[in-house]
Amino acid sequence: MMKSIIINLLLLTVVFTQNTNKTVLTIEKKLQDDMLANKLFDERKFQLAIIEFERLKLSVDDINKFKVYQQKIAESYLKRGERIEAINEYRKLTNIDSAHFISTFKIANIYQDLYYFYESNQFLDKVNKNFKGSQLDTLEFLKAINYFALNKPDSALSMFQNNTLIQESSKAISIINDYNNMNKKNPKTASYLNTIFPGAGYLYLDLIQTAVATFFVEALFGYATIASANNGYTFGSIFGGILFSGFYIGSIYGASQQAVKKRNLLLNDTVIALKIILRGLQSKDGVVNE
Amino acid sequence: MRYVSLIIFIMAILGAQENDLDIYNPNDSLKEERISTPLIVRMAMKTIYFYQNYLGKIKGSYCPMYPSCSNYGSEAIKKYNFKGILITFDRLHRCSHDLKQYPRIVINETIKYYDPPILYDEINNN
Repeated sequence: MMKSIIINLLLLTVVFTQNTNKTVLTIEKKLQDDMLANKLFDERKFQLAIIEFERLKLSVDDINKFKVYQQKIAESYLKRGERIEAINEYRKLTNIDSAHFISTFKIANIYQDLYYFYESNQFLDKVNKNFKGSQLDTLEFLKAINYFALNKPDSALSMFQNNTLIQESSKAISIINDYNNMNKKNPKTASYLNTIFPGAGYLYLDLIQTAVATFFVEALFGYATIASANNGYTFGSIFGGILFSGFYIGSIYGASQQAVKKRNLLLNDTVIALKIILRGLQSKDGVVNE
Repeated sequence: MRYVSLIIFIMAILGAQENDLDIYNPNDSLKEERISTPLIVRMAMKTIYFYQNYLGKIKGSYCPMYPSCSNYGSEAIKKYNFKGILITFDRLHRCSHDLKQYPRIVINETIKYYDPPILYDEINNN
């Protein structure tokens, strides 16, 4: 009897020790894996880091740890420049926690960087109700920039005026006011000027050399066409006429395109200036800068 | 004599070989699309083809912009048909002028000025 009790106790001790060792080993292994994954991330070996974090995600039982790993995966994709994949990974986070600010901000911000301003705002409209305070204001700030980029400066201005981030909003308002006061080239004016006097439209767009070239080219082809027709050179007059018409109509249409391009560039520069303010907000709210 | 030269010119443009058409429509299964291409667009494409394969090689010209004017024209006409022809003429006006307006890029170890064929008002509408 005594012998069997001793044997059982010994067996129990062995099993218990083994189990304890196993648990200790598992925790140590997880810590090592965690360290390895983070090390790979810090060394910018993002592809390997993604694999490690994905592996860690499978074995983790703590939801907060899971979120951290998921966020690291999304960040790795973003740092690799794979923005669509990054959006998909951040979306997994928002599916788990609808009030996850960093992932929400990042999704909207990536859409904005991809020039999908409308999609960015659509996304923000859906999720904004989950946030309040400074986080909501940051998201509203991002939304206002999207409105501005969509060529709705008045909507953007009113959104900035209602924002409680007073310092940043006042900077944004002054930038938008500067934009509104800038001399923006009108495409129709550029076209009309080129119609009336070849090259004048380009001159209006500050393309001086192009204006001079246009005037001389069109004058040359116009003169050649008339001279050929007067002298009875059918081939010359047809050839000259085709080229003159092409250059003339092309310059009218092209001038309007160049005016739109100039406007877009101006708008783009202003959006960049607004995004610089947003970057400041990002670091305030704990969203790591890219 | 002038009528002969006119006939030769028209023949050269219209009477190009069937293979020449492939520059804007390489897939033979898209013959319907080829038929629907306006004559003026086809003529413009043939002129560019003629320039790129014959005149350009003789002339050996250097375009400081990227894509070069003939490639710009080819791309623009493929993308925008008649509007493409118009922006090609506009590009010919702008070529080599006011280069500060364009971003600089390096192509084959040479600095070029980037000006892609884009209809900016269409971008805004989209």
